[in-house]
Amino acid sequence: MTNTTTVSKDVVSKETAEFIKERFPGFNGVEIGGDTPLLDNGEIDSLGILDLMNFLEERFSIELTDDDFLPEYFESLSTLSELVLSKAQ
Amino acid sequence: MTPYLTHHLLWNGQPDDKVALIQNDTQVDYATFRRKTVALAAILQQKGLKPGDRCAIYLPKELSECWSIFAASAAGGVFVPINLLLKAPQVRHIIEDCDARILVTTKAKFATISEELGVLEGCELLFLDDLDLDQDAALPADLQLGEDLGAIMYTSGSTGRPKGVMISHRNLLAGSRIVSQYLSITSEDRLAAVLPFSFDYGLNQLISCVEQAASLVLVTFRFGEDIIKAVRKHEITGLAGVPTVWAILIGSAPSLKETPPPSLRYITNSGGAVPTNTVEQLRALLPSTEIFLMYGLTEAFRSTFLPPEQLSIRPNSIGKAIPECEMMVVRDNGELAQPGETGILVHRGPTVSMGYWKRPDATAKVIRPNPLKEDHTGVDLVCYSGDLVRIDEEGYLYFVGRNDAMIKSSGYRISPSDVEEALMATGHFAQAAVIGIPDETIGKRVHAIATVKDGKEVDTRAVLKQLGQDLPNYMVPRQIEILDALPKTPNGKVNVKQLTAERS
Repeated sequence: MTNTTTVSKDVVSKETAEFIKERFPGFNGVEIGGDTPLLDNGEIDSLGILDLMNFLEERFSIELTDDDFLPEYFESLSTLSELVLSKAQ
Repeated sequence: MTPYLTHHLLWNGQPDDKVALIQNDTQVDYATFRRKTVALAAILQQKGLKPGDRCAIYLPKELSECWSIFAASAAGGVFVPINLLLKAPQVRHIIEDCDARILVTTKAKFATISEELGVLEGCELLFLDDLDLDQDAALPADLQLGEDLGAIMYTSGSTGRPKGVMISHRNLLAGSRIVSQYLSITSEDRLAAVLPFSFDYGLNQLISCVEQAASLVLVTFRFGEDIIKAVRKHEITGLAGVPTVWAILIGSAPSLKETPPPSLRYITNSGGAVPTNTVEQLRALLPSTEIFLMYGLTEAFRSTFLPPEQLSIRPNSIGKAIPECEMMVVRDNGELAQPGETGILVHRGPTVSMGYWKRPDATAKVIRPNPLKEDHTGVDLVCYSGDLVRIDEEGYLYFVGRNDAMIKSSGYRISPSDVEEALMATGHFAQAAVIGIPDETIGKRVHAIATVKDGKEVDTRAVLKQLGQDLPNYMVPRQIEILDALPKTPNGKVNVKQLTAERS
């Protein structure tokens, strides 16, 4: 398990991108950059969002509350990593 | 006149200016709903739709889908709603299998599958974008009876491609009447349509709403909050969902924890069991909302519901028969099972469907003579659900499992053989087995176990992506596990039970 005090934005982005490719086959082979829209292609549906949240919580030992389920956090890897870092502090 | 065809319900005395349909900020009153239905019905007939012809409907969830359904009925046709999550191969299967005469769609929606779909022989495309439905037309004369086919709903079994369940107008009306009765739906209600109309339970929101002169709010969502926002904005009184909808509501609707929506009179669940702790959370979040847990299968529409007051007493029960229907728990030998014993659930009543389109053999296995009646007492057809249930001393039923390999996931029925076939078609595998692994959120998770051809390396992620192009996402396995060999039963078949037990 990653030590949350040292986790960097790059690590979060990289591992989250891996998870997304694994869980959502439509992203396989797609270059997911920091600003690549995550929700536009419809691959990540409402259930997928829950799975993504669970992954972030477990992988980075953070606790997300209901208030973190806002569409703006799910726009890109960049917004997601900021969410994770803000929670890991 | 007592309504006996589906579209008759739209001429059921609803006030012209009463709001029938709502989507975002658009409202449609009953007069407009009727006008568009009649105009489209006239066009369908001009395009050659004959009585009993199938009219496939492939539309995004929007207002026009509602009048397309009623127009197909008014034109004497049979409506076949197609789920938007399906990919081109399944859409093609449905259109060809039901011999659709007309496909009602929009240019934008059709463009997403047209290339892969290829040429559709004998099926005319009707793009709603091109039509003016505000012109006055006359309602066509009735060409069908209540006993005639009203709709075909495609659903999967344990093997093979999706089958079309034939639903008569009388079935549709009975379902609507029965549900309106036990949920006490009135013209004061505003119901949310969250589920697709290609799902009989989703379609019922539309038909019950029209029957009762209520209002229907079409809701699309990604976050639970989207649903709750719609409930608050439109003061929705009834919300029907499947287990995943409740998981999403609990997990991603922040405002629900602060204040429950006061308008929400009831919620209903079908399409799979809701985990008990989810029910507990829903009760806490929605203290003044009644929770109806229901059970049904497309072949008989809806079978049982648990009255809300029983929820704390027997939270795991699927309840008792819906009004006008009888549920029998039957042993293999056709005798009635005793309390505590497990048997097949057999449904008797006016929602028993007409069977499977063009599949008399499959129909004969499911729609059968009542095992408890003697031949000389008349014809009485019942529906064998294929679900194993147990009955308690007070007559409440409990779901035990399926007696076949069908996987129920996110409210969808998935045929393992359908997914296995897609896996084998990739050419990478020597053998493949697809099973359902219990999952708290979606019921069963689709899981594949395969052996590789000639011991070669396979990029399973790439295979999953490839599958996602031809299968709807809910059918794509979450994982492909590679084994050296699959365990066999003494008969030489793949031992699915063992594979499932080892992973549950």
